[in-house]
Amino acid sequence: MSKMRLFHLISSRKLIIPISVVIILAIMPLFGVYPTLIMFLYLVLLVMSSMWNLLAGYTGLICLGHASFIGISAYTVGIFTMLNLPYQLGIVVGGFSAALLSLLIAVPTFRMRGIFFAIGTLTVSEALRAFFTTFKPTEGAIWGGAGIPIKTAISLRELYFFMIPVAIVSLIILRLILKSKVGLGLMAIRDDETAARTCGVRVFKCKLYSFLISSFFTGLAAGSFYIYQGHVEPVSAFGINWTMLLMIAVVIGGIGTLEGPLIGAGIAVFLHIALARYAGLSLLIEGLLILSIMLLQPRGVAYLLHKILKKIYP
Amino acid sequence: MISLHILFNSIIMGLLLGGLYALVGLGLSLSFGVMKIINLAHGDLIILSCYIAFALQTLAGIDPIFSIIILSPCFFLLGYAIQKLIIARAFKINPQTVPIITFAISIILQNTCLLIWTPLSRGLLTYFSLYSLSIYSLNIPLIYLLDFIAALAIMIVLKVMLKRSYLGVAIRASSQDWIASQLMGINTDYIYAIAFALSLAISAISGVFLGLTVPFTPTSGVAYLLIAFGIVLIGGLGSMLGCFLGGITIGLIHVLSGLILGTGWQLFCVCLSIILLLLFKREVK
Repeated sequence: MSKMRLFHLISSRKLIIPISVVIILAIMPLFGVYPTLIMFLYLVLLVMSSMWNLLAGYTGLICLGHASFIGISAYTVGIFTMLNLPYQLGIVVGGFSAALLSLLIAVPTFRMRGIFFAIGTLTVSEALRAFFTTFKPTEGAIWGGAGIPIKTAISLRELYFFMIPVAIVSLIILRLILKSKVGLGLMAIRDDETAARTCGVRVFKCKLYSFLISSFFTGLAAGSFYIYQGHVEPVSAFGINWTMLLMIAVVIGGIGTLEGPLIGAGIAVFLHIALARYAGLSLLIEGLLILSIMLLQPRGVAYLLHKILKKIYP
Repeated sequence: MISLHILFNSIIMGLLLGGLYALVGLGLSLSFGVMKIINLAHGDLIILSCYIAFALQTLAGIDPIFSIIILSPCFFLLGYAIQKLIIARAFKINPQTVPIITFAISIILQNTCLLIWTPLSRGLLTYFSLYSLSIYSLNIPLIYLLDFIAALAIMIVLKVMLKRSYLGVAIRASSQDWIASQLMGINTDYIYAIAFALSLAISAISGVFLGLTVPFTPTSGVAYLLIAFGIVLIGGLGSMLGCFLGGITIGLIHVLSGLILGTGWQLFCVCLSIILLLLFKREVK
């Protein structure tokens, strides 16, 4: 009986696409290192941009300080590997340290709205960057701007297989939240915070939930990314480039939609690879892209695809 | 142990540096006070002005102080165009997307500077760069004094303009209630564009003085955006005198933290003080 039900569940239409996607993801390493690397980068960016989207698209909090979660998690993983502790533990603790940081940030920044929040979070990431560029744990140690190495003996394939469940779990949790009461509260806050408060939405609690979840999964993805990278230094870890990358994935895909980051992260990785030859120009082009999309089609590629699909299958 | 003499000299330097920071904050305070939008590209526009002054000096041999006469009207027009063509449009589509737009502008400016002038640290050097005044045993660089005087002058001009002229009254009216001022016959779209353009013209001036005082790189704009933000937070919205006092506070924090903890910690201390300020401020909307 239970076997039959499982079979029905699998063969039902709803699950066909997700299961086939998971199978494709799982067999990716068979094609070689390069496709695995691209898919790994895609998954990392997918998790981070989905989580940025939870804040910017659904809660109306434009966070310019996501780099602080990324950097904190990366440094935690770095310290864990320096102490010869297992890297999986490092990544999980990195996620929790990012969540802890978000809890600390929440108190001063949640009293601000809109642009104040954006610049408040930017201040936090800049403060952390300034801290880690000058901080030295002991006299004579060379942390500071040089950063710390992350030495592990794991292959990209292992990391990739670690990243697949993280991505799937994060997307499922995102969907569950948005379907729940908290998600409804978040969207009410985005549309009008005062109105939401008068209707009995616990604004601070809802915002805090979304902030904690967002930072935790961003931390997990960042930890795995920096293990692949093998080295952390403050300018790249807390830099504005990360924020830019997340923003471009979300904005191109479609801000405030679940499928937006799915498409946008793919385009962002493609751009990253395609523009790698023109290092100086790449950020300039990405900035121009954001600007033009925001002015011409603020709902992004997801909306365009939706429109085209509707025309083909009315 | 820091001697009393060095401490006193540092305090004077902090006060004068505060003048420069007030100049940086004035532009932001004007655009922010009127439109309730923080221009995230503020710092990078200032750095752009530094670089253009640098280019004018190296290519055409124009003294940085005189390049203000060219730069400031150009930035006025640039501001008018940015507001009319980009920000006003974005505001009509969805006000929540304005931070993303201005952030994109900041990235574009930063990378344009990087492409043209490379990431090397530059500075504006003139014949009076190394002059300093000695009063008793105090050494005051002439540039710092010039910064302070320029900030004071611009603040007074701006204050009188906002108080007396028709344009100033219209700017103040549309910052208080834009619907009511529209009903009174003020073209608020035009006023917003003018306010933004004025803010950029001030940024151009502050850029030149900044370049004369400290070295700059294409990525140092973010620090000045945060400093300007802190100044506006301390000084309150749209208040020119508050802006000046805020600038002096940040300048003192900057210099004294450098003296006590070391220069590496300066930016961290400024950021930390802004975060602490947010913690103890009333709810900001």
